[in-house]
Amino acid sequence: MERQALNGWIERWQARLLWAATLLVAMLVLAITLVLAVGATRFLQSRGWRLGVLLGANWNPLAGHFEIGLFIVDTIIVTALAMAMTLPFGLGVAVFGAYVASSWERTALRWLLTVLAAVPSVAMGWWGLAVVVPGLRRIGGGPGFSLLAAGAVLAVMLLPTFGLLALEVLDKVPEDWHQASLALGASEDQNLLQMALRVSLPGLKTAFLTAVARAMGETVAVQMVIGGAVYGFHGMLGPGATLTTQILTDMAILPLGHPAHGVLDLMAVILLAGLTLLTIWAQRGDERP
Amino acid sequence: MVIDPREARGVSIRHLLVTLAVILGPGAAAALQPAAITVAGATSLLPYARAVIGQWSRDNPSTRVALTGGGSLGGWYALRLGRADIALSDIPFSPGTALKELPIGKMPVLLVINRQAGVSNLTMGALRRVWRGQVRRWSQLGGRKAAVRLVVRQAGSGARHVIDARLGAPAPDVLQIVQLSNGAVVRTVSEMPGAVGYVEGDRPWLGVVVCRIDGQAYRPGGPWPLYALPRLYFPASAGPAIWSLSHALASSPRKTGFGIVPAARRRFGG
Repeated sequence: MERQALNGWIERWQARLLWAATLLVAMLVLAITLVLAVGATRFLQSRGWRLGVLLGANWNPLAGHFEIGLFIVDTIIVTALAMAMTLPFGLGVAVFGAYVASSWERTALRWLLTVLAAVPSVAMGWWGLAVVVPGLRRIGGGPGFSLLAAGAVLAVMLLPTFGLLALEVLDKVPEDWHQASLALGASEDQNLLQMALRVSLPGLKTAFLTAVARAMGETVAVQMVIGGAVYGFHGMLGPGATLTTQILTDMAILPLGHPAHGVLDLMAVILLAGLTLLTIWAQRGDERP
Repeated sequence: MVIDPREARGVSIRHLLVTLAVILGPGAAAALQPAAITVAGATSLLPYARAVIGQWSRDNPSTRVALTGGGSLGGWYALRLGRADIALSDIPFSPGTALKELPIGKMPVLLVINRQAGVSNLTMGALRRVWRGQVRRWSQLGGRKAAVRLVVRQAGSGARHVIDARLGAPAPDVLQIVQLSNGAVVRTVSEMPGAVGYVEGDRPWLGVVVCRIDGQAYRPGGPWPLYALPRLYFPASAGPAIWSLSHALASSPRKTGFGIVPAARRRFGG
């Protein structure tokens, strides 16, 4: 009886601790969002709520020009380029690991992807400087520092994130379903495309979103290879700047407490809002019959 | 359990001090902490500041010194917002009466050009035309056909301040690569055909051509048109430790080893 009471007491406290941990995470997210939102709102208020702040391409904070449209466009382009390169490779790696590889190959593949995921951003940036930038310079004749270089470096960084998650998702498709699908006369390709990938779609979407979130938030590696140009659009092989790289570049001249620091908060809020919208869109897709 | 009486006495004294600090308020609590000074600002001055602070810390072991970059403007804002005690800057600011300013010396801003440009001497007029976008290929200035590409520092950098003041801000349609340090500028210029950039300090910059201006190569003591004037700022009401460190930074003879010309040599350039 006493033991039962003790177990009950432990379970109650476990539940309370878990609840407190969840509450702490929720409060952290709320606090971060709130701080950024207050800064962004104050900044927009000080600029008279003009949409030009968002849509223009005139960025010169020392002269009072805070248009961030160019950074939004560059962020979207770099993320799209990275995902376009990561998706086929990552999916290929996952399919190979889940359905083609032998046991030792699968173990080696997981190990390799894990090691690649652990490479620090700054090391990936160095790799980009040493390999990607000169390579693009030779191929395209431009400066090498470019949106494409940033996309390529990001793609390599995202490959293990997306590949490992996709591999886990594909691994979860029950073996019975494969057997049933093949027994009904499906070829290996049909089994993969019509059954395995379809039933794994919600999980693959989550893997995709995680990779997109990392792509949009990555800073150091992108900063090292993107070129930091804040004037105009120079094409995929020309330099640019994303929201995160410009926050990094200008946080020294717009520190916390500076009247215009709020523009950096606004840039962070836009990133958060973009990711939130993407998540909602993905969840709505899952709910469709 | 055996309690060492010395340890017990130590604990009780510590408790007493903490209790006193709590009773007397945050001012007393701060007084019980070891002194700490934060120095922030121009990245080009960090190697010199690190060397001087190392020596100064050996002579003043009870004071901890934190050194951080952030750029000239970042250091200035950090000082104004109370997040730094000393700001290093190569951009001039108006200190007013609340802040003290000490000159550190003069630091040359050197133009570095990629070897494939085929150019090693430019006039100030030619440089201005490059910055305005009126020169698109080095062949227009007697060099090779390589396209001109600018490698510039970020806004708030002292070197950029000097270049913008003397050459004008680059035209918006000129391709510019922004780099966050002297080292990154040199590396980019050395690897990118036709690139031209600028760095602070007279050091052996490898893999690039250090450009002569109006036929004159930079040499310490010689005439040179592009100088940054590094200085430091600190609160006039600062304690003796900050005054002492500020004067050490302003007057250390080690500055020449870091490419800084002592401020007294005012007869050269400008």
